[in-house]
Amino acid sequence: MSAKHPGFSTLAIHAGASPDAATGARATPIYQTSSFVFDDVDHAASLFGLQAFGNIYTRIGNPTNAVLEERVAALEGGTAALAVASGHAAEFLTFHCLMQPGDEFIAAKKLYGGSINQFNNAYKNFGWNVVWADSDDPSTFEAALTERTKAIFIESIANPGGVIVDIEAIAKIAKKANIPLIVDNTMATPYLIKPFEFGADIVIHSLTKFLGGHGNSIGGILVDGGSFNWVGDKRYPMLSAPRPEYNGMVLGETFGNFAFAIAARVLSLRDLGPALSPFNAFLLLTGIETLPLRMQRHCDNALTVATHLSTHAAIDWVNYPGLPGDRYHNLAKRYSPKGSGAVFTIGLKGGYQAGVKLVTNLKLFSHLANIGDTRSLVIHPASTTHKQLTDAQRSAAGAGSEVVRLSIGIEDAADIIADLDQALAA
Amino acid sequence: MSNIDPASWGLNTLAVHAGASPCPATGARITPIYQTNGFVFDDLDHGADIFNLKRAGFSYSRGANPTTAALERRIAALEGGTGAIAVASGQSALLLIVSTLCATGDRYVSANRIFGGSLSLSKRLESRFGIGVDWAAPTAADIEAVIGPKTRGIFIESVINPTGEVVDLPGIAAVAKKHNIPLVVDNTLATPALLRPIEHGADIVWHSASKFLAGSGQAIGGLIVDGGSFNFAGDGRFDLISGPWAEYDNLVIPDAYPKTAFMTACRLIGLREFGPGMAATTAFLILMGCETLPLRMRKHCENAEALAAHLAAHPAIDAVSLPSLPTSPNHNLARAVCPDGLGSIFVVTLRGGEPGARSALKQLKLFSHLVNIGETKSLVSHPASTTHRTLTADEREAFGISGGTLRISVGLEDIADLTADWDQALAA
Repeated sequence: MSAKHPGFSTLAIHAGASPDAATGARATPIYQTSSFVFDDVDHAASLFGLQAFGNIYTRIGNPTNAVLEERVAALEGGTAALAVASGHAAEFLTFHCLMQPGDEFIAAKKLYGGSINQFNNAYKNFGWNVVWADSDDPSTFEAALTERTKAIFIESIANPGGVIVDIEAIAKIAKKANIPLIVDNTMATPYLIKPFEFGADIVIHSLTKFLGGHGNSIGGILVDGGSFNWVGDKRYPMLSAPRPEYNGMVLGETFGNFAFAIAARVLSLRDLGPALSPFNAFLLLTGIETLPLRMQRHCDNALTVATHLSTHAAIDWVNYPGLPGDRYHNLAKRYSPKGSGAVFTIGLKGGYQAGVKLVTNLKLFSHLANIGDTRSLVIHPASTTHKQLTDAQRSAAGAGSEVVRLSIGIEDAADIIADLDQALAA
Repeated sequence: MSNIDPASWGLNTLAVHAGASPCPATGARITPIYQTNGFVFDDLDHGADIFNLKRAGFSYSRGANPTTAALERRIAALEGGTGAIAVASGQSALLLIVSTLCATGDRYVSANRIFGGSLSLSKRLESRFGIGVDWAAPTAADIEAVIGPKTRGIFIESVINPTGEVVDLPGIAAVAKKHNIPLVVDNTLATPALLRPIEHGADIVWHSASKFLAGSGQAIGGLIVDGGSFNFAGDGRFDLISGPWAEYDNLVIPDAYPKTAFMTACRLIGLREFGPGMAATTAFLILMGCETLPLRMRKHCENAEALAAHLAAHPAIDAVSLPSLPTSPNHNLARAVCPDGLGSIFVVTLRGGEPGARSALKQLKLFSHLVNIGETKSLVSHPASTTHRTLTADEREAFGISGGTLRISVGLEDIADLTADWDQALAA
């Protein structure tokens, strides 16, 4: 590339990809192969021993996936990345590298429900203990620190939308305690927010959402910021202790500022196995090419729709930080000046029944559980994802009976508004 | 979704939704990739009825497939047509259209300034199948001058490859109407995001979907859209469309499918008999590309106009063809016919002639040297040695192509990176 510092749009199209050396193919090939032939016995041995970089087996690494990894690392400003089968897998592998049984991590209370479940339930089996804090009050993170705290986990824009987190304030607490800050940047994408610029050490994504963008592939990624010094830090033996799997190699020493991404690959992904299919990686890569265009349209449409709904007679409230007067409006201007994302919640004056009626009557919106699709999506948590909870539990989870979550697509804003208007009037 | 009227949807909404709805069997929101050859029949009568076109359905993916059908509905909606057919490539699209309209001994008029592949195919059809072509400059007067009694179609490009100039579509459509001849428009360089030829009087529109529609240079495909506007019924000039088909119980297509007569005949001869169908996986990739088409085309046009202006002012550049430049003789017509943008393909001629072009090609880093166009990535090629290699020197001159000419397809990168790449390449 000619530019020393290519722009974000250029990186979205080019980073990590170059014409195929074997054939000249300009689009990244889909290397839908399980395995890669070794040159000879020594080559194989050096690959297995991490003395040489190369492809062995697609569970551990694949050239199509590698392009995706380099591209997202470039967009986030990280040193390296690891693409895996889902956002959940990216979280799981991240914590697998950091946590021992009995360890703790602090997580923001307002998170994607899937993350809450994973932390509260699945991690219990490993003795990894989550401690919840309030991202609206960064001092609660400081107050939750103990000697066993190994990480802090937050979302940049918190699911189900409408919440902008003061990343820098929480990063300061993590730095002071010398523990890594993990930021789930799914809702913002690096187009809106680059958490490394605000002090994050590790960024993770569900690629399934805005990065892929078309709702056509499940995938996740973790990005190493290269900022945390693991060397000699006994709290993180996966990175600082000699690894028996690799002849006593100390990954933090050997791989320096991308040691975390390497550890996640050669210890976690290799052994736990949630690999991303190369075909999905190809679809996600293709989606990323239009990320800047899509995200801007998503945000512009969301602001138009939120503004319209904020004065609608059937709507009690709209939680969208792009709206002046919203409690997160100033944080949005500071962290996410290009837009506040495309996912937000509204409160219906008619409560539960109005929520059911709205999702039933919407035509252009699809009633489903994903977000970050080119299509506009809607869900009424009280009658679906949070149906089993009591009213009090639902309200505490931000999923009260009157709450509807919208994920605004890239259609014409006029068509989105017309659909909402007819459904609210019906 | 079927309850609201897609006719009222804006282009951005159509690009995302048209032709696709959640899978009724599973709820899947995204159109499934039906990578299957055959479709099971309920019983013998069901199979027989599908084969006889007595009921709609799928039998075998060479003729029709549910994934490609979603793409066909989407492009038909975007172009404002009545139906569409997806085929293996743009070349196949042209072959199928010509062979549906023309029998041996028939003729058609073709613009003489078209994609080199179209030019080659026309010459081949003439020498191999006796379907004659009469060349004309893409103006209403020049086309009218060569229309004869055997003319069965008028073939033009809306935006000309590789110069980016725009033809007088309404004027040419008026000539076609006056002579009652179908107007066939290759809309590859404009795409329906910029220009919908059926609104201007075209009867059949086709695409190389490999370009802007797929968008990332990741799939080869072609699309044929029936405008539903030409009345083929009882017209003996087009016996394949208007005559009874013995193979289908003497089906008379315009009677059974009055709005999609051309498309139906084209599908029967083209896909069922010739066989260049589109793979379901390819259709899926192109469907995904269509979703961002309006966003991409706007940025492609912005970048192209900015780069064209930058290069036009560069001392190493002799000429830039994009009619966004006020100095272009095509400027006013282009803006009138195609006000939303002119695409992102044009040619530049270097003052340094072929050595200058050779040097620039070697130095360009962000622009890939290859012969596709219409990708997210910026591309460059040297027509005289590749796509237009087989033309005579006179033909090349008519195209405005010399040894110092480079064709540019401007991608979606940051414009500052694109101009910087050319500046360093031309300075070297």
